[in-house]
Amino acid sequence: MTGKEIHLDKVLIEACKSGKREAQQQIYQLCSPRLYAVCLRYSGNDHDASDILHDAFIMIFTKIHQYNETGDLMGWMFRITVNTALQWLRKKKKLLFSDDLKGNESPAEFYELSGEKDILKCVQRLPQGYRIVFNMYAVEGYSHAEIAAYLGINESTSRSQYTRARSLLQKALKNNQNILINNPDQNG
Amino acid sequence: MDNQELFQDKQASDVLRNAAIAPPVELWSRIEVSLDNKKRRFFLWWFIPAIAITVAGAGLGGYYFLKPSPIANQFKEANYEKGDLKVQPYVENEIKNTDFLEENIAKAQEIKFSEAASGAVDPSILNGKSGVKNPAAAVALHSSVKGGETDESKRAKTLPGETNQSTIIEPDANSELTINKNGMAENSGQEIRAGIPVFDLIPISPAFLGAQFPVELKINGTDLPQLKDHVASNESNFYVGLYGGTSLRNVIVSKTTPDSIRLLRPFNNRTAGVTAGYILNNKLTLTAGLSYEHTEWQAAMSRIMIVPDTDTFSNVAAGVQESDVYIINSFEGTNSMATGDIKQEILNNYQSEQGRLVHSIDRLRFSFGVGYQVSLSPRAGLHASLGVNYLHLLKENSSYIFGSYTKDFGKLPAFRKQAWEINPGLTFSYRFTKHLALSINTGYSKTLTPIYEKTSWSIGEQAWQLNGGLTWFLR
Repeated sequence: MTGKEIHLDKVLIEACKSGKREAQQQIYQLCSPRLYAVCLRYSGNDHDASDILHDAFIMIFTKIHQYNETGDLMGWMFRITVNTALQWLRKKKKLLFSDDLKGNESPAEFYELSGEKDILKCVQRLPQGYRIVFNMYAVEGYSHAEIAAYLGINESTSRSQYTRARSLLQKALKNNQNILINNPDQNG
Repeated sequence: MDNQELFQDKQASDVLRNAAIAPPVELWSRIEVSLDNKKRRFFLWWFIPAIAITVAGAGLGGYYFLKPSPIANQFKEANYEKGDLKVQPYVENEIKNTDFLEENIAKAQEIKFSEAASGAVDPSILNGKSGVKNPAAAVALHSSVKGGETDESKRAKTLPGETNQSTIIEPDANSELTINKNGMAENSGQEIRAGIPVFDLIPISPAFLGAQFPVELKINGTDLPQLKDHVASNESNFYVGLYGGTSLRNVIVSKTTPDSIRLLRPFNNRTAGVTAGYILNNKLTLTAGLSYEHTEWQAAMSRIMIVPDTDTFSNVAAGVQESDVYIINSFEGTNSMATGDIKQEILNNYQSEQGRLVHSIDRLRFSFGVGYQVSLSPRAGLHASLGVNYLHLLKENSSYIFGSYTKDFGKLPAFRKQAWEINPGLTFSYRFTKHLALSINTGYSKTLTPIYEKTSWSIGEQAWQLNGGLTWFLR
């Protein structure tokens, strides 16, 4: 779920639980790049991602005493960040599912992206509904039934959104072969 | 979906899952500000309602306790100055026919105390010969103020066990009176009466007579006639006190995740301090105190250990142990949960499993409390209190002693410098003079914050304490 492990010292977690600011900052410095990437995947732009990450860390530091030390803290933080992102999008009424591409999310612009780090931007440029479903299904590993239940949509909508998202991404990746195949460092 | 596509999907997912991009630099500052605000909001959410409830409670309590009772009024109106003794009997129910009252008082005045200072003393007080108590006369006066009946006629109408509708509470009717050389009446005795009002009309009842406790108040020839003004009546007073005592403390070590460990570790401490307070109407008290506490953890003490395994509840160990290398030798081999920060700290410092560890702690304790005081007699009082204490660690020292070998370890790591404690207590005090009282206090206290920090263990304290002290009332 969390990919490359980040080792968080037990003492550091305990200090964070007791509200020590230095410990919170240390955890932030260790984990924020990974969590920021999650926020970028779900949001359409850097500004929104910053807001989501802000809310996610407030939630993490407020609720960290509920973390029971048996699981992976990073995974726990990932889940909080994803939930925060979805709630944030819902609150801002940005959780829209459409069949059509529009505005600056046009396929032409999408295909123009290239380069190693641009895969994230590819995802960011996906239409909102495509992006959410793609992230939840392909990256987070939720089933379509779970996604449908969580987002309040039909399962078929979830499938279609994912299929379209995947199709768009594949086209983008075919146009930018070097993103994955030519960069083995990013592959594993 | 062909293999190539599946491969690409997986690659894309992995890349996205492992992506790491530094967030904007200023984001941490924003988070810090939000965390501070959240803490402040939390404080306001809890503190302001708590203050509001306290103020409302204090207001209601104050109203209740400040509301003068009939008895308090009587004490208040009583003028004990020499030569002007006027204590009027309090009649709870209205006397409808006052003509008879005046007539009877006049009649009683004719009968009693021709030697008393003329017109200066209320006849209900002057109810006996000089220096001699006369309960029967007092009772006669009680009946005389109720509708003009004589005590004989009243007794004839009231059988034992009957309750008369008019209740008389007359605190000084049975006092001794002496006439000084200037011809002025002096009150040299006080009393308290116990019993239910029905006995007021049945003076022969042993229950009533047996409940009288005359108290002499002359000390070295000096009159201290109004002790009950300060003890038994509603009167505020400031006081300061010195106290010292001991307590039996338990250190409670616990860890609940993933297994449970609970360990009680008793030790003694000695406390000496000062306290100051204000008694509001002799009932509500506000106190503040400062004490110095010295603690010594005695190695020879036994401890009881209970180690339940929360998964199966099958691995429960209980025992009494004499050695005192704190936690390590108790848990090693018994339960795998011995792998804690504290154990590691102890292992780093104390390698031996024999001998004894003496750990001394010096702390300052600031206490603030509120209490309720009831008078048991003119001299004795019982005071129930609830305190909040703030503890500040002054110094600590640990040494390991094995025979003649002593090794000082200095400070134990991660010992918390500050702690909060809650402390309900009960104090009995006996007042020797108007100003001086002896008090004995017993109480229970429990730390609200762990005494260790930066550890996954929760370590707190609870204590039973016993203190004795002297209190000086300022007024």
